[in-house]
Amino acid sequence: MKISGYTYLLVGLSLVIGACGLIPNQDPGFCTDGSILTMTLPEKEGFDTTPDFVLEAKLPDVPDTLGIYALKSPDVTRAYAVGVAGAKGAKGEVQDQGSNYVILNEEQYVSVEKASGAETLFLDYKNAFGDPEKGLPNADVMKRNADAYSSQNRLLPDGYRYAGMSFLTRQQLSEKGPTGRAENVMGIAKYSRTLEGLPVEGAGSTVTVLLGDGGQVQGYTKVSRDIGERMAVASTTPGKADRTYELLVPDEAFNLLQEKGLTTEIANVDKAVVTDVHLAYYETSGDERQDVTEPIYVFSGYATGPDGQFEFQEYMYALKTKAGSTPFQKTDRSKAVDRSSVQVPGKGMKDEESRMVSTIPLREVSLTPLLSTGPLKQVT
Amino acid sequence: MRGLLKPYLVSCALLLCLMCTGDAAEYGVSYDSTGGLGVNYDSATDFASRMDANGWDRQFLWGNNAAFEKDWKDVTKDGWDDRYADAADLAFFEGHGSPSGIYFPNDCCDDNKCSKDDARWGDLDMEWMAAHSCSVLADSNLAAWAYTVCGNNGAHMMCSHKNTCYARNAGDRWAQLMLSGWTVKGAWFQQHIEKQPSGVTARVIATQATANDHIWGEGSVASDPSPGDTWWVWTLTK
Repeated sequence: MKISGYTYLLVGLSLVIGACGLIPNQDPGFCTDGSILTMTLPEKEGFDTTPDFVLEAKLPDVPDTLGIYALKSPDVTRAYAVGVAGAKGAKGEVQDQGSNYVILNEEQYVSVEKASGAETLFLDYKNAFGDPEKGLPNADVMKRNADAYSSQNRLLPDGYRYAGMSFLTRQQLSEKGPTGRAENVMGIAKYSRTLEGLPVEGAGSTVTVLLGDGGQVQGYTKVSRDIGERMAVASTTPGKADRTYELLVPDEAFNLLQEKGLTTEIANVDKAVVTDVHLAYYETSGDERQDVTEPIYVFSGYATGPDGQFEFQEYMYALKTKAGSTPFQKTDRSKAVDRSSVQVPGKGMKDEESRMVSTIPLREVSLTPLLSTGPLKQVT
Repeated sequence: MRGLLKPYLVSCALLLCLMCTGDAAEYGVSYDSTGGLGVNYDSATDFASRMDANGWDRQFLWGNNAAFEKDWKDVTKDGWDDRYADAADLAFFEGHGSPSGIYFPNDCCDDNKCSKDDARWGDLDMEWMAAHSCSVLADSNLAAWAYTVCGNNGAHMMCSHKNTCYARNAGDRWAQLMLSGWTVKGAWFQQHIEKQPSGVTARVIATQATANDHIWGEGSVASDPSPGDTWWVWTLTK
């Protein structure tokens, strides 16, 4: 059947008119007195997280010297990431997702962080952390499974030791709160290491093996930067030796904690009781570059306020040159925004049965550049 | 005339595509990156960048002095959630918290805490909410967040922490995993394992049906829960 040019034109025009009718209406009725558009923004910013600190812990003895060590990370390329996945039997589409490479297929997911070489592998990732059908065996069986998997896949560099099992649990909620028994639905076998007799702590310090249905391994996460040469020394009495840095004594560190307050996302606390203080080394999460590990103080305890009591841990660099700062603390880089110049969005509405999201494949996006651990400044 | 037809039809086809993506799901983010929480800016904006790049519509992205409690407060309680938090399918908060609410760095327009008494999520659009904040899902008000705030109104799930957590770039990884086909709950727990030190406890509350939700376009999504449905809590300590 031959269709005339005018028919195409009419169909096209009706499509355009129809589309205009579907564009959501931006309701201007919101712009009335009392709305954000007529309000002056206050200058006040920030949140008080400086409670009164009470020390109920014995302060630790500090060794004469503690080393400062280089950390080494692999040069992560696409080929390197494919090699990591291949060694675990995972093959699939390789995606450069900005901060990492991801190799995935319908069942397996592998990511390798560019900053550190940190690896995550998950089997059946589309149902990750789901409830098991068969249940879990006891912790001993799961530990054996995790040990065997770690050994077969060479997950643990020298020095890593089993550090315990934690669990994902499921519990019913009544209108009054959790009720009944919390049921284990996944096991997390943890492995960690020490350095100069001190624990290595922080998000990147633990290799975790995840065990699900029937105690079978479902995946693992491993950061594990290689510890390199002893680059320098930290001491409370540094003298004038080359490459020696002054270490805070515990009293000084506690005073700095009181000055700086809590750096966690805790709010509304009046009092913080420190029940443990110890020295450790710090290894950050795999998405950040870290070239050095050095001693830190770890303060543990509980904080109280109108909303109750909360446990906390505070990490603090132990070198004086870092003035008691926290390893992952960053300054605010946001810019002030005046909302009065931005159009108020339309009202929300209930979803239809199936929402449509454009099927753009994951692609590299512009993300925040990650900062590396700053070089140490030598004591003069 | 005939020469114009082809380009015209191509334009119409493109317009049809735009109409399809115009029905994209929405996300919204508020954050507090003041007082040493600078990484929350990265977390919020990287989350937004990933969602933008994958076809989601941005309902709002407000930080610090521009992030208001009213954006999360129910419209029936003199809040604005019908245009902000509850006008988005996926809502993300980065900042301070306690069992009674999430905290904003200024008290513009009302006060600086969106409490369990202020919030009623899901009666409009919201399915999933995450508060990367300390202790919001501690035991003390867990039932209120589950039933009063979410379950009786239609929200599917809430993710946060039982105890003290650390400011990390959680939003980037959470978004990345969800957009790769992970469930909302699975992605929350995986980013937790990767980003937080030992001892920090993440929590997710949902019904048995909504616990396995993927975000729109990445897998199955359960129907809205009804009042009276039983809620559960999943707890993971690293």
